[in-house]
Amino acid sequence: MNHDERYAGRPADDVTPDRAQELLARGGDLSETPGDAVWERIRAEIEGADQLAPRRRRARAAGARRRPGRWPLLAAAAAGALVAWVGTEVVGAGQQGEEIVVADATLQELPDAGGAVDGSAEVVSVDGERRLRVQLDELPDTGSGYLEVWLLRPDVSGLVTVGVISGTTAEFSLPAAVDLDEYPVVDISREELDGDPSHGGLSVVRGELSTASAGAGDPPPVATDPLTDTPARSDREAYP
Amino acid sequence: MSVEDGDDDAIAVAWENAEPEALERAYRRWGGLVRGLARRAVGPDDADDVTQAVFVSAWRGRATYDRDAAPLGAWLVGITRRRIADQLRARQRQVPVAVAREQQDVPDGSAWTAADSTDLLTIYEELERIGDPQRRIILLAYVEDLTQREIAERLDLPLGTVKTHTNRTLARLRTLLGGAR
Repeated sequence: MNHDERYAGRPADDVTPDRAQELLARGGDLSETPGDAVWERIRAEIEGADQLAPRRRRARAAGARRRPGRWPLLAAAAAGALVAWVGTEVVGAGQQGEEIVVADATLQELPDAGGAVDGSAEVVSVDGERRLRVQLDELPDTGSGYLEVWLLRPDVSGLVTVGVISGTTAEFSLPAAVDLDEYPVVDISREELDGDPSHGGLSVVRGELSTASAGAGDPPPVATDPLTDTPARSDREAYP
Repeated sequence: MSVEDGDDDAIAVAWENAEPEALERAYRRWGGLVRGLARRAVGPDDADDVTQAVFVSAWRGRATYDRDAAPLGAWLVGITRRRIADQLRARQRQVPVAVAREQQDVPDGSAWTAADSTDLLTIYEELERIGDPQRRIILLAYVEDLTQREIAERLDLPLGTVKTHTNRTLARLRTLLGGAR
């Protein structure tokens, strides 16, 4: 087919390529599905919050519980999520004693939060004991349930529960055994009163603690700036 | 290129019902488009990150998807636009000069300005909104560079239908892009 014949078939008003045509031509073929690597990353990130694909039966069979109608968090924690109760709420926690901020985080709303709720979290060392202090700008709607505070691995392959937050602020005592380098992500989830101790899969806010080293009794003297804390991660979790 | 008949609506139904396979099906169907658009906007280095962010945030926000309001592909392109904006904002926070860098990241040498990549998003969002056969006709015509006659044969449509769809869809895109200016 020669050139003239080729263009003879074009619509009459197609003499001058317009912007749409030019951009489509320049953009080229956008339909090539990206590699499985990206898909695996998507799955890994999602898997923390719900079950996804049939291929993860393996992980479920490995011990995660399934409930109809629920999205058990970490059902697919292939690495084997261990749910452990670590926090003890500090009642009447005051400012007594010398207190050092070990790490802090900005908490940002997640898509299912049902409204803009932000907050902050910090880990302080008081007389050698680490405390996780959580503050929410406002109390998210909990419906008939309640809010639970967790520490997660960044890839959500494991989590530890810290305790229940019933107001906009709460403070929890963290045992020395909890490694904040391993579980740096503060997550607050909406839970139902269903007797199921695992994460309900509905996180309302989340943020990553920014810390250099949080070994018990050996806090770094200076906390790092939370604003430099992995912006890509929080962007990723913004409202679509 | 995958302009073959898809079961886009079936994927959208599965998505709306939060069926476990829906995310992977959507990724297989629109992942290339999302990543391609991201690549034109933020360069290859960050395109995978944006693609990941698009599908993760889309899935987490799936309760906000309304099939009556938009086809799933158009909705995903809309999310792509926002995640690209996030990425560019994050760059500005991190490295003030990073925005200038993005154009060198595109290996085909043609510089993609912010206006170009924004318009390309608009075009694909609208094509996903219009759906087939118009979408396929436009892509075959201007991405694959087929003649109207070849498209008619490929899609087994009357030549007149192909021409009408092409003209109308182009006019619609022209209006959209013009209106954005």
